[in-house]
Amino acid sequence: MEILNGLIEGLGVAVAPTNLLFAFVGALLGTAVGVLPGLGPAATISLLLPMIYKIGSPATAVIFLAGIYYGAMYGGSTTSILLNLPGEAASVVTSLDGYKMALKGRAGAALGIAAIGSFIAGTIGVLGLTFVAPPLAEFALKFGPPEYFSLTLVGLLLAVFLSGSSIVKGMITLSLGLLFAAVGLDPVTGNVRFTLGTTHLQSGFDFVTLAMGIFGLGEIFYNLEQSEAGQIVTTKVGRLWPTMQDWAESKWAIVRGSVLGFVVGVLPGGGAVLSSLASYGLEKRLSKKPEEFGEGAIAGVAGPESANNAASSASFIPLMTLGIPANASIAMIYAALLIQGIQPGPFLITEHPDVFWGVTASMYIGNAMLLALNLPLVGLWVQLLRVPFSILGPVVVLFTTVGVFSIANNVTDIFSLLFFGVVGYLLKKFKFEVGPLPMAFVLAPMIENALRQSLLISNGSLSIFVVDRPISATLLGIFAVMVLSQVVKFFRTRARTAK
Amino acid sequence: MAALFLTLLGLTTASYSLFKLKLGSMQLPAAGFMPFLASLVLVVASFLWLMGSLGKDPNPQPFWEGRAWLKPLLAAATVFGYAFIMGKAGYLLSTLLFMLVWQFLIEREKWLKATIIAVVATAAMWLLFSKLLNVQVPTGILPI
Repeated sequence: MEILNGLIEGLGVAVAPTNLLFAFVGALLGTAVGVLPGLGPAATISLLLPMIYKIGSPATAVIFLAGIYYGAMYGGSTTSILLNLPGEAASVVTSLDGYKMALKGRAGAALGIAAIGSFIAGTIGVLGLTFVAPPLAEFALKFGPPEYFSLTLVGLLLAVFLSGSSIVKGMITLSLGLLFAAVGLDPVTGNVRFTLGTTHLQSGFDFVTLAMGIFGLGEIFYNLEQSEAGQIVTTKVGRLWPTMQDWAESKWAIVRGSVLGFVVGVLPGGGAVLSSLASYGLEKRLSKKPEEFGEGAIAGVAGPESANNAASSASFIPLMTLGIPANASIAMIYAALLIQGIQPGPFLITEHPDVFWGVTASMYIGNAMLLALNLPLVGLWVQLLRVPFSILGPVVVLFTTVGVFSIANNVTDIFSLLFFGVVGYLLKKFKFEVGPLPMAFVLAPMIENALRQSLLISNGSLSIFVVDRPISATLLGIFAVMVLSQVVKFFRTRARTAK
Repeated sequence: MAALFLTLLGLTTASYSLFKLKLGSMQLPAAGFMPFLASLVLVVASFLWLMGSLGKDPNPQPFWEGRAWLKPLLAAATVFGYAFIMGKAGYLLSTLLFMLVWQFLIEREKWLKATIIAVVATAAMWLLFSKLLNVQVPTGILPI
């Protein structure tokens, strides 16, 4: 009953004309920027993040960002299908069959089933969020500093372990994120840290500058190196609505993908990537014609697209209930909430019900909006794909510089942006998984405070994390198992190669 | 090289945290406590990366194919110059210069096309930021 009341209250917030407009503009801008080659959801949100400073209401700000997130996710599928250029890892599997469908002249059907699958999955994901988040937040109210320390630690490690990339490299980006966050004044003692003697660095690095540098500028620097751009298959998209046969082949893939995506998506780190990969594997195994996978099977588009959309909705659960961002894009929404003066976590539902329920309800509307927006406007998105990089590149650079400048009207911030742009470029060049860096950066103050408070309470004893603390002990147990399993895997692989 | 650089970076931040910021005690950790732990993770991970990459491939692929490094380097230098002159020359003039340099130097466009792109993009960006979004961009030597 409480959930229903909350949802009704949330619908009231979501249908307010301003919020409706921001959800629409967010989904539109998100799709428009997400469609541009080389710019994934994290880059899209980072480019539009400075606008948050101009929005007065926290609920409106998050509704806007959630719209951008969904829009960018869908925009990424469009480039995967039409250009074979996945904007981010979660769309890689979509391009396997989606691009092949486009080559066979069935781009419209692939785009159509991706939009419909995303809509159904997004709705199932939001339903899950509605019912899972409130009890989880209530449970999290029992958390003290030791639990928070263990939880953030496990959350960050999961992000590294599940990213699918090298764990060693993931640990490097994670530690870099923690170190970048340490720059500035120590919140407890007031000592200055790593400021290199400059007053500018005393206030620390700004998250928006870091995100825009790494995901915006870094991405452009990296793309400048790539001489070959993808070729648009065709500007004729064809019939968008799936045929009866398409529908028969996809409906269960959508349902399975949605459920799988939701379950995997709750986990911090790589939720969307893992779920789309898992869904593709599952559909191929269950298919009567597995040989068609990789050659243009519609279920190979419907399943993963549904899974990554459900995972996107599910990734709001750890953010809204535990205050843990599940991926780089959600880390930006976490930062946006902080900018608006709201600490994401278990108190969000009770202290700011308008934000929680407003955002949840607006997702229902946002999903419908995305469907209404994407299918009729697909022709426009195709035209956007034709923007040459010689124009797109410098324009994105100008967006990032002015965006960063507008935060504090300070030209010096552009130098910080450039620094992070170079860091982002090098990380991408060395094939690092960048996600853990912004996540560690936003969570660093929480980890440090929780650790220091715990040690203060226990008079310096580390037993506070285990003794009489079943939640913290369980989380640390998971942490130990994760680390041990990797050590065992490492030695097994070494023994095998030695043979 | 990169792994070695990161290992050294980790060692530097670890010693700075240890000797300059101080670790404090277990009861009352000081400002260097958390950065020290993060630096340790960086040192260990970078060292493992370094060890893993040693002797793996006798003929490694070049990090940059040919002169692939040139465009990103020019782009970074252009952004640096842009930030440097923006405060003095103002947004409009510095953006026009930025777009011209980018089109000529990085994209190697013909002068007419480069000028048209630069003028149109500068005007569009100025209208968007200064007029539509009300961003207080530096005016510099121009009255607008």
